[in-house]
Amino acid sequence: MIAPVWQNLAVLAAVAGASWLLRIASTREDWRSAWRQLTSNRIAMASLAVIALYVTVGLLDCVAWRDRALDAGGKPLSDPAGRPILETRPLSVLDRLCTPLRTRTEKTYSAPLSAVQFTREAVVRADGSRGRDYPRLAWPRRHLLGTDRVGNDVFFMALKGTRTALLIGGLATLIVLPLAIVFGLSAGYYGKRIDDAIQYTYTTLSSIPDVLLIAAFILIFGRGLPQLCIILGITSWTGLCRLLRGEALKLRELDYVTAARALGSSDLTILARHLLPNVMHIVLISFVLRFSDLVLTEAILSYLGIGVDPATGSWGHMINAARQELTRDPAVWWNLAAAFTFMLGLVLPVNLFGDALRDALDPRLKTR
Amino acid sequence: MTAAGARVATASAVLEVENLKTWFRVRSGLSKAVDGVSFAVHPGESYALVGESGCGKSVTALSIMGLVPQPAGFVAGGSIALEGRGLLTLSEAERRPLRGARMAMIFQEPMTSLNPVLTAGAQLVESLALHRGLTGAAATAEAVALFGRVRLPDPARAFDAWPHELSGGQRQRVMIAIALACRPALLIADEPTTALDVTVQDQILELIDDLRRDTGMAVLLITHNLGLVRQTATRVGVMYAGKLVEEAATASIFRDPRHPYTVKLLESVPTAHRRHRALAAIPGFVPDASAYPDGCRFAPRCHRAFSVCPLVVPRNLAAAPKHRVECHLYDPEFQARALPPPVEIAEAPAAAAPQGTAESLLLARGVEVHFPVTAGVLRRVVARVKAVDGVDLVVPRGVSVALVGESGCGKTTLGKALLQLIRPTAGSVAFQGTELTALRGRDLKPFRRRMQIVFQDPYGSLNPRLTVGEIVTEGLRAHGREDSSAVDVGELLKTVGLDASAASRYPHEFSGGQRQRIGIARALAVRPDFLVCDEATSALDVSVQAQILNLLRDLGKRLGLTYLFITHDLGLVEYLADLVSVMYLGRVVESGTVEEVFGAPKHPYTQALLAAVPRVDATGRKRILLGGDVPSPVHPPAGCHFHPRCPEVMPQCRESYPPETPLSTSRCVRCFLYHS
Repeated sequence: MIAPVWQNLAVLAAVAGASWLLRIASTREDWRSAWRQLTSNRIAMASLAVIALYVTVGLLDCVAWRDRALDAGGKPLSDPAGRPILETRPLSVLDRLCTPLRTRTEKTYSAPLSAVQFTREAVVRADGSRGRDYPRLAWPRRHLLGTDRVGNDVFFMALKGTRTALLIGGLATLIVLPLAIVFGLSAGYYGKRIDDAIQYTYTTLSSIPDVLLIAAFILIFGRGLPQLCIILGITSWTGLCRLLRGEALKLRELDYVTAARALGSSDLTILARHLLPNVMHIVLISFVLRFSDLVLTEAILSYLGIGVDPATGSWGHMINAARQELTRDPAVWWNLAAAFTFMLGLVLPVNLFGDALRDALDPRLKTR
Repeated sequence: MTAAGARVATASAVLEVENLKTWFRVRSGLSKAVDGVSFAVHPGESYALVGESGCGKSVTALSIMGLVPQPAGFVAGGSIALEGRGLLTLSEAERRPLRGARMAMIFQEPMTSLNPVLTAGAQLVESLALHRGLTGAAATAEAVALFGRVRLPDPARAFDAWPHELSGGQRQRVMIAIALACRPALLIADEPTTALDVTVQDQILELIDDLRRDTGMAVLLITHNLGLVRQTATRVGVMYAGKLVEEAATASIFRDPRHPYTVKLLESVPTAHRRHRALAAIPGFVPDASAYPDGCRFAPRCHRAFSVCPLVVPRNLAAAPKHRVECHLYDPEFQARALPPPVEIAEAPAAAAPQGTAESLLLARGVEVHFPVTAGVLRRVVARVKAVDGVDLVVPRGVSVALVGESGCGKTTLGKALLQLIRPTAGSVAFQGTELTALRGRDLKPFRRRMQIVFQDPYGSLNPRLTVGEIVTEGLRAHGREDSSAVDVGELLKTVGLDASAASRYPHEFSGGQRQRIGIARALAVRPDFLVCDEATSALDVSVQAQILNLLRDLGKRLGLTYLFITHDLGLVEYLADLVSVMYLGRVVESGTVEEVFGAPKHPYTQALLAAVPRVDATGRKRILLGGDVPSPVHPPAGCHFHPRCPEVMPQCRESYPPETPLSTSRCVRCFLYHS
C-alpha cells in the first residue's frame, strides 16, 4: 500500500529539475567542451562516480512510504471501519533494500566484525556455571562497522546519514547561493544606498551568534530537517555575500564593464554576462568549503539538541555520540570513524570535482 | 667626493657580459629569454638596452644582479664580469656583498619597491649599516646627506617620512638614494621612469645623469622608450628575441640605423613629420622565447629578408667602426644575394587636414566632475576631488581632438563624463545639439550607440569568459540586433585586421595588439560617429602601436569617425590629432590646433610638458625642468593651479585663476602672461 509522502514529490521535482538543467547545459557549446575536458580528467571522473553513488543512496533514502501494519499472525490490520491501518514510520527504498542490515540489531555496542558484544554481561556458560562474559552477538561477524549503543548497525546508520548530509548541504546551499549572489553582486555593482542597505543587513545578521538565531528559529518553527536547512541557509550567506561584494566592487571598475555600459547594455545584462561568470570560481570554492562546514554545524546543533530529529540518522549524531564513547576504556571508536569516513568520502570528491569543474569552465586554462 | 666617487675612468670595463645565456624551464621546453648576449659598459657611460617587451632586456639585468627567478631560471652559459671579477663562478654567499655595494638596481615600480611599514630613512640606514658598517648618528647624517644629493625637497623630513607620504617621484628618489648608498660602480635602472609622469620623469633622468657625471659610475638603462634613450644614453644595444642585434653610439644608431629591426622600430614612432602618412609598422609580433624561428630570428617580420635569412644564424659584424650588427645584409659572404630595399610607395600626404565643418559633433560647456571625499561614521563630505573642474571642449565633426596631460589631470574622467559613463556634477554636454546630461536610461540608449570608447589596458578591457564573437556583438545585442550578428562579426573582424575565425576563440589566446583590435571591433560594431581612444596604444610596444595607429587612421578616413584621443604621448598627438587641449589639474590650460600649440606653446605648463617629453627626432632642445610634483586635486593650489611649479610665476597668479584669453579663432590660453 503506497501512501505518498510530500517528500517523494519533492524528490521527483528535484530530479526532473536537475535533468532539465543538464539538458539545457548540454546544448551550450561552452558547457559541452567543459564536459569533454572533465571526461579526460581521471580524478574528476572518479570523484563524480563517488558523488553519484552518494546521491543515489540519498535519493533512495528520500523515497519512502508507509506499509500496512501487520498483526502478530502476519495478517494486515484494518480499523473498525475497514480501512487499512498503516505503520507509523514510513520506510524508504534504502531501508527496504538494506532490510537485513536494518533489522539485524544487537543489544548494544559491538566492535566492527566482532563475534561478541563489546560489554560483559552476566551469562550462563555452556557448562552451567554463571559469570560475566562477552555474550555472542545475534549476528556475529556481520556488522562491518560494528553496532552503536542501541545495537543498530553502524554501517547502515552511516548510510542513513547520507541523506541528511546531502539535504543540509544541498538545500542550505540552494538558499545561500541566490541570496549571496544577488545581494553580493548588486551591493558591489550599484553601490551607494543599495550597498548601504545590504551591508547593514548582513552586518547585523552576522553580528548575532548563529547558534542563537538557529535555536530561536527552531523554537518557533519546530524541529525538522527543512526548518534546519532554511535557517542554516539564512545564517550562512553573509560570508559569501561579503566576498562577492568585494569582487563586484573590483570588477565594476574594469574596462570591459565600462565598455558594456558604453554600448548601452542593461544593468541586468552586465550583472549576468560580465560579473557572474567572473565570480563563479569563488562561488564554487565556497560552496565546496561550506558543504563540509554545514555537515559539521549539524553535529554541533545535535549536541545542543536543536539538530535534526534523533530518529533520523545523521553523521552529526554519530559524531555527537562519539563524545561519550571516546571517554570509555577501551574507547568505542567505530561510530566516529564511520561518520568521519563517510564524510571524507563525500567532501573530498566534492572538493576535487569542484576544482576540476572550475578549471574546465575557465577559458584561460583551456587546453587547445 | 670620496675615492670611489671620483674614480677615474679607466680603459677596463665596469661590466663585461660575454655570450650570456639565461634560460627558463617552462612546460613547453626551454624558454631562451637571453640567448647569447655580449656587451661591455665602461665607467661613466650610460648604456641603454632597448627592445620591445619579451626581448630579454630585464632578464639580462636580473642575470647580472644574480636575481633570476629560481628554480625555473638558470644561466646556461657565458660569463659576466664586474670590475674584472667573474660573477657566475661566485657562490651566492660571495655574491651577496657585491649586490648593493658594487652594483645596485632601481626598479620600475616605486610604489612597491619600498617597504610600507618602514620609514624611508630606516630603509636607507639599513643599507648603510649592511654595506658600509655605518650606525647611529653617523648613519643618520649620511642618510640625510644622500637624500639631499638625490634632491629630495626636505632631506631631514624625508628621513622620517613613511613611503605612503611620498609621491611617486620622491619614492623613486629614495630608491636611487638607497642604490647609491654604497657608491656602486654600476647602477642598473630597469624602466626607472615608466611609472612616472613626464615632467617627473625628466627630473629623475636629469638626476641620474648628474650623478653619473659626478661619480663616474656606469649606468645600464633598460627601457622600451626610444626617445628616452636618445636623450640620456651614450651607447645603445638593441635587443630582439634574446639577442643583441645592433650596438653603437647613440648618435650613430639614430642617425644611421643598420639592422632592419632598428630601422623599422625608429620609423614606427609617431612624430609630427610623419603626419598624414602611414607609420612603418612591423608585421607580426616578437616570437615566443621557447620557439624561436630558425636562422635570423627577425626574418619572418623583416622587410629585407632574403634567401639566406631563414636558414643561417647571422654573425656579429662590424657595419662601421664601433657599430656592431647581426644581420646578413652586412655579411660580405651573403651581401651579394641580398635584394635591394623595397621601393616605398610614398603615400601622398593628404592635403591639408580635413578641417571639419563648422558643425560641432560634441559640445561640452563647463563640465565638472567632483567626487566627494567622506569621513566618519556618518559619511560626512569633508572635501571634494575636483577631477574635472569646469572644462569647455568642442569636437567638430570629422576632426580629431586630443586631450593631453599628466596622470591625475582628469583627462580620463573627462572622457568618461563626455560619454556619460560618469555623470558630470555640473555643466552641459551636447551631442549634435541634444543635451546628454539630462537624459536617463532609455532616452540615453540611442546616443550610447553613437559614442564609443577604446581603452588602454588590452587585458582588462575584454571579459575573459566570453568568446571574441560574443564580445564584438555585445553592442548589437544591447540594441536588439542580435539576428544580424552572424554576418557582421566576420566582416568586423576583417575590418580591424583579424581573421574571421577569431570569433570562436577567447581573448587570452590573443596578443596585446590583437586584443586592442578586438576592443576596436567591439566599439565599431554599433557604427559610432564618435570614438574616444583612452590611451588606446600606451600599453603596446612601439611596432604594435604603429599597427594600431595605422588602423585607427585608416578607419577614421573610411568610416568618417571623429576621434577624441586621450593621451600623454605627444608624438601621437602631433601625428594624428588636429586640435589639442592641454589639461592641468582638472582644467584646460591651453587649447588650439596642433600646429599652433606645439609650434609655439604659450602656457608655461605646455612649454614644460613639450620640453620634458623625450623624443626620437629632437636633439639639443631647451630643457625646462619643473620643480615638484603634480599637486593633489583634493587641495589644488589657490589661484592658478600651476603657480607653485611655474617658472614665470607672478603675484597675481597666487590670487585668482586666470581667465580664458583667446589668441586666435581656434586658440585659447589661461595664463596671466597673455591677459591684458
